[in-house]
Amino acid sequence: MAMISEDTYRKYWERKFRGLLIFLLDQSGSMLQEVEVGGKTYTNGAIATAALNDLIYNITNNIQADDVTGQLKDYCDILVLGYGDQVLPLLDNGRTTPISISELMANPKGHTQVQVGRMVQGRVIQVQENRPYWVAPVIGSKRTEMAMALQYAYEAIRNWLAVDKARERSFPPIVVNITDGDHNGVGNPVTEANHIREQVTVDGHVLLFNCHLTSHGRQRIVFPQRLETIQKQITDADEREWATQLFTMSSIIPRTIIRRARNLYHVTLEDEARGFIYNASPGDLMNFLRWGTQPNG
Amino acid sequence: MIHNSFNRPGQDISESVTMKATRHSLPITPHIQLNIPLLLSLLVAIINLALFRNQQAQSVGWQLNIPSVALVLAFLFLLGMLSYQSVSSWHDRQAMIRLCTTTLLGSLLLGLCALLLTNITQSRMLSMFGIVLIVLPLVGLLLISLLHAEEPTGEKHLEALTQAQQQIGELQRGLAQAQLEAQSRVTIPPGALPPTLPAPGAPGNANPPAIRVMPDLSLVPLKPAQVFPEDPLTYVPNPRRARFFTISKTNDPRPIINQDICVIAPNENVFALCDGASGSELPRSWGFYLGQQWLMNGKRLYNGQENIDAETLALWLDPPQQNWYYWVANTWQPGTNERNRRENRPMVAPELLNRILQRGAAATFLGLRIENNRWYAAAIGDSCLFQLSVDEQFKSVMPLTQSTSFGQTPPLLSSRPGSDLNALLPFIQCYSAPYQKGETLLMATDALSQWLLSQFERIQHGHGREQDFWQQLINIPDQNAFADFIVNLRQHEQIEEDDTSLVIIRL
Repeated sequence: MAMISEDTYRKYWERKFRGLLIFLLDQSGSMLQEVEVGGKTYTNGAIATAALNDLIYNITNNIQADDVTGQLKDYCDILVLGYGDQVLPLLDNGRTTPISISELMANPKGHTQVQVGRMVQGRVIQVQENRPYWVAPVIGSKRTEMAMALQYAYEAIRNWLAVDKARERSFPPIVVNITDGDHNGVGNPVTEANHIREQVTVDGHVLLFNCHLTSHGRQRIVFPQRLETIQKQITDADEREWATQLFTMSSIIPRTIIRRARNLYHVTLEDEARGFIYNASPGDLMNFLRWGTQPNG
Repeated sequence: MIHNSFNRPGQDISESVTMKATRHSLPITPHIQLNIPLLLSLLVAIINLALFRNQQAQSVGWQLNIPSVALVLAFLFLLGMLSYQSVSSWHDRQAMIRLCTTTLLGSLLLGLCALLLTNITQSRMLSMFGIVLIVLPLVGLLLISLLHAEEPTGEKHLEALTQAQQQIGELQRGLAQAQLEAQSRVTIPPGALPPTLPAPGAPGNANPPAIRVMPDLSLVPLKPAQVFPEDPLTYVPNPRRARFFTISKTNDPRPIINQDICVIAPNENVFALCDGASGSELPRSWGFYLGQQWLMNGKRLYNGQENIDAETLALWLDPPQQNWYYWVANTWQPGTNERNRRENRPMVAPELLNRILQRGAAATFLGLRIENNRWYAAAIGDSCLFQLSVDEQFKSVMPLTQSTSFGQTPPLLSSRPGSDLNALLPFIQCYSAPYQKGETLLMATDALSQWLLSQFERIQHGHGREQDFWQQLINIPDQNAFADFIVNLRQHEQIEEDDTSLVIIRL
């Protein structure tokens, strides 16, 4: 196992020191609950899937060609696991191993029309765009095997780190768990989350962030620093319990990311804020991933 | 340091002459190019010589009169110009060859004149001198043509041009095919996807613009193919009076890693500093061509008076956009593939080239021109220009004025023709101000500019002495000291980890 340096979370994603992103997507029946966004009704599952596809699209769309070799700067691997009654890899190849972004770019599941905002003549205009997608919502399971999904993620990180010695010097893998909060299956997600966060590269501990979607809550909590915030603001007892659990499972956001978020994105983040968002828009999640990951090719 | 032929005296003139020549016909040979200052001074010398001879024929002996003084001055100027250009072109083989060719041609002309103006029976010495002046240059020119027979010729240019035309034709056919496929909703490989920006002036138009169509290739300035060591990717200016320092985000010293690029005019009165956007394709060379355009035609963008409109900007951006496009298709791809072949790496596939050309490059831009005791600057993005007084006190800064104004998405100039320039206009900032001798101008890319502004804000709140602060920066002696300075700031988390560049200009 790698020894952590004193100066952590400073590495960039590079081809030599690759990055790893793992998404765990709740596919239980409860994710079918509907929410209203901009006057239209969507399910939580559809929102989460759309956000994920958008993120993969942005990552693959931004791969640069290398100035010297002309090859794509393939600096990161992605794994998407869905969990309900069982844990299933959601990317098209059906493997539980992470896939490089250039491979993802070349092999989307299909194409679909999406509405996107474009800047035209200084104004944002909604246009239809034919975009690739990689993940389709498959929802309706009875159970929510979150602990098992975290276990799979743990295994995937361990194997991924073992493939190449250089990866021990990469920016630590990031795991993002998108759920409606209710674990309902075998094992204990908190214990599994601890196992994940205990894994390290030279640049720091593996980061686990949680995105908690609900259908009824009006409170919006973004990157809280203290547990009291959750306990004070969430009135529903069940929701509060799940949110508390997810808060405990979440990593503290590294200092370097907080600084970057403040300086470059003008986001007010408290020191020691947790990588946890409750009832937040998928946009919050996207933004967070944007300041959290710094590709350098 | 890598020397580049663009940063040489007289180069900009010969460059534009070549470009004009290419518009109508292909260049005769690339190493015979007109060197206007030398030829003009030679012409003046010959006219004076004729006048002087005429005067001598009428009177006897040396007389101090206008033709004789003008003759001496013209020869002195000629000599001075020749020495200056030789010293400046010393490391640049191509420039040196051009200089020799011009000198030999001039000498040939002078010899012919000497023979025509001299009465052989009266002055055998002078006639012999004339003959020597004719024969030696002929031998020299012959030697140059023999030694540089391998240099690219007009035919090779024609060949390259035809190849380029074919390549672009293929790309366009591929794209048209892709668009047809997209329309019929057939899954197409992402590399062949059309660009996502709608065409300008067509709000809500979801049909993306096609790849740039080059209507008439003969109108495009085609430079002699540059070998990779002298490529825009590796270009680093080496000014004599001004100082330029740069350090990449990862402290990797290879210029190609650094997406900041600075271009400086030979006489160091015009500067451009561009910061290539990561996520865009080959932004370093785009920054180089933008900088070159500022050096050659900066006044067309900003001459101190006019407001820039979208049409002016589009016209101004056209040459660097074309240069970048042709460089990627004709120099970068073949060069990279040649190297990939040698090093057993996969080739740059046509789909990938297509993707690069469609996505294009983007960069921030800061251009500075110093003229008649004023400076003129145009800026798009977050690289800043600081003006300091003679006693190192802050005088002004542009385009950003506060450390909190920096963000992750600065406005950028794109290599893609047809991008929404109207939306960009409000972000273009142009200023002009007078200066006094002894003042200092600093050009810095975003991370350093943000740090400088934050420190200056601290000083304004009573922390530290302003003069000491600016002096520590101005007195940085060399690249190593600059690297140490920035690395130290990075270690103390005072400055963003980004490619960082600084130009110091003592006025």
